[in-house]
Amino acid sequence: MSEKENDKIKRRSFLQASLASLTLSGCSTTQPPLVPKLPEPREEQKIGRRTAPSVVGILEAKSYADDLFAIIKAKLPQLKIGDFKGKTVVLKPNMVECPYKAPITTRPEVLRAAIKLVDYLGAKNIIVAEGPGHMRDTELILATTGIGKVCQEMAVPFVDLNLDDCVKVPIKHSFTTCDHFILPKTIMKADAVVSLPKMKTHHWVGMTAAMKNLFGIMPGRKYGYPKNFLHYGGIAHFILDLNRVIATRLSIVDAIIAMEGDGPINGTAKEMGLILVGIDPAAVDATCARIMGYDLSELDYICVAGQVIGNIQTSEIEIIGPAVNEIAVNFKRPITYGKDKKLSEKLLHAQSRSDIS
Amino acid sequence: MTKVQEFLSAALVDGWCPYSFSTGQSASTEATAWAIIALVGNRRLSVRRALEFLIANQNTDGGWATGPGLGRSDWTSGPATLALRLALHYQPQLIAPRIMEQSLARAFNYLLTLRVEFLPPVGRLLLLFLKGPAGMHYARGWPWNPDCYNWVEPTSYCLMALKLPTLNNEELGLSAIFHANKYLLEHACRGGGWNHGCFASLGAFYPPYMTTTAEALLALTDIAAESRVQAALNYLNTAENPGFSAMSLAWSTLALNAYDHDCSKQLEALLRLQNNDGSFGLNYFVTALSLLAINTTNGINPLRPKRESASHKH
Repeated sequence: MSEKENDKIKRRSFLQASLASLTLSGCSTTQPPLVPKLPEPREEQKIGRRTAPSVVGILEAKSYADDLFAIIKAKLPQLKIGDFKGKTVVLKPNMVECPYKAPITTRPEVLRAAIKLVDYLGAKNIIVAEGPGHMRDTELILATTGIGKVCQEMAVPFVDLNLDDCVKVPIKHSFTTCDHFILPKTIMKADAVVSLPKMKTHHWVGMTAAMKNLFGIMPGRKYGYPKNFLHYGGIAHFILDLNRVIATRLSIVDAIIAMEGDGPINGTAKEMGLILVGIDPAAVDATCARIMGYDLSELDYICVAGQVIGNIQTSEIEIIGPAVNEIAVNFKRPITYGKDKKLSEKLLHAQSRSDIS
Repeated sequence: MTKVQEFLSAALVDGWCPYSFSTGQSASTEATAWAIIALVGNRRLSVRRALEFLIANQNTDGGWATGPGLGRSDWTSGPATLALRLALHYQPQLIAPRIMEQSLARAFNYLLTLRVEFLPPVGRLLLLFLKGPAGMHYARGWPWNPDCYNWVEPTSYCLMALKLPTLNNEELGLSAIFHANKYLLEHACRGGGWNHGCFASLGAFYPPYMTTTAEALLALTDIAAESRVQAALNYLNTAENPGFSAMSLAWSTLALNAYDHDCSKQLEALLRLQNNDGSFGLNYFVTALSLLAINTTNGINPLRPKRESASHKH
């Protein structure tokens, strides 16, 4: 190589390095954070928060073959659920996708018990509704989860919330950047919405139960499959806004077989033998988190829910059933919620916007 | 007219189609688009009013929302554009050419500006400087909603809109096709096929789905020889078929037929699922897909390309 060519290469390398460092320095100060941090709630966001003490039932159910309705019914006086007399009630199970190997979705036995319960409590109309998050093929999911069969056997209509007629619903004082959601009419016309989640770990927000279950209400016809729009704007932010717009009337958590590890899809089964029941979704979720071995300070959205939705402190929650510390176990964590906090945060920030739920 | 054609034509009586079979439902851009695509190949069935509906509800940015008045334009712009292109091809007499061409020009403009761009201008400049022009050809597809990430289905729908019935030969269109083909190929699942677009996360690999695999295959007929396309065809041909779902069977039939693979097994299973009133599945969208699948027995498949292309070369 001649001296002239050598000089050319050295100059090019120098220019490349200089420009690279200049542009990188420009990038580092102007790039927004990958995941928006959950802010401290403002006073106006706290309006409407439940202030009366909450009751959460922790009911033991060894298997799905047990009479789950009878188990819940036996505790009704203590659970203080009230009734659904004359109401149109929408039951919203978790049917995120086909449960190909793991306990991903709400079991049909829990749905059957919930239908019997709201019917017993006087509901005039009962609808089962869900907008599966990952797959458009609701017919397939209804078949593979067994939920379609329960709806048929109990003569309860199923509504695919992903394809339902929709309305624009304004949001006041939102945590997200949205001033409105496009939501299914079936949900907005219901007198009561009952959340029927699966207790699972979640690799982006730590856990999913009553409150996160409402993601299935956002219609895929607008927000896609998966509903990446919700991730992009901050999962925790959308959980809070959704639960402020849709005040669920009751939550029944399927924790007979829960999920630990890399939830909410790729985790493994965790036998807990429990059903959790409560009116206050924040209290239900806080109790689930404690049972799963979490410290609430690890779960941002639950901490903020304690200020804007309902009760999360043990002093504010009356437990009907065994004491939480007697039954709590350390669920295997997703690696994003592991002991190495720095690694966890790195993984969380790197992937959560571009990934599935 | 067959029972299913009759069922679908009746749904379009007001010039649009809802999703749900229930009465009193509102218009769906996607269901209307697929109803048009399913019926347009039969010249005895007019889809004029449905085309007029689509054109009238095209937003000022050139795209479509999931239904009239339901927010800004979104992923349903892909199926809507595809419906217009196929209608222009099969029944050009239905709408004045000038009106159709204007609508399509605006639609293409919307689709081409909607593509996901991850890097800011400074980042792209850096990439150009470090890797040269070749470094600028990173995979880019389409999102469900503007400003979100690429996913397999909206990318597949938009690619179909750009490639069917014939390839969009504009320079920008070819460039978009090249990058979107690349996106799909890079996001195939291990072992073949596609799911929604997340083939792996945090060290775990996720399985493919029949529906999304078929959609991606229909979007990639111009690069049939690619190994990932062949692997996906193998997945569709050998996947366990529970026969529960008209949607997966209809899409699988259409995709296998587009590649000249035998789809008789899928079609037979699909026909067993027909409802008594002639419909399929739980809604009009699936009924339209099923009609399209059935029409392959008559040699009609608008989702087969009309000519070879070299879009994978750049």
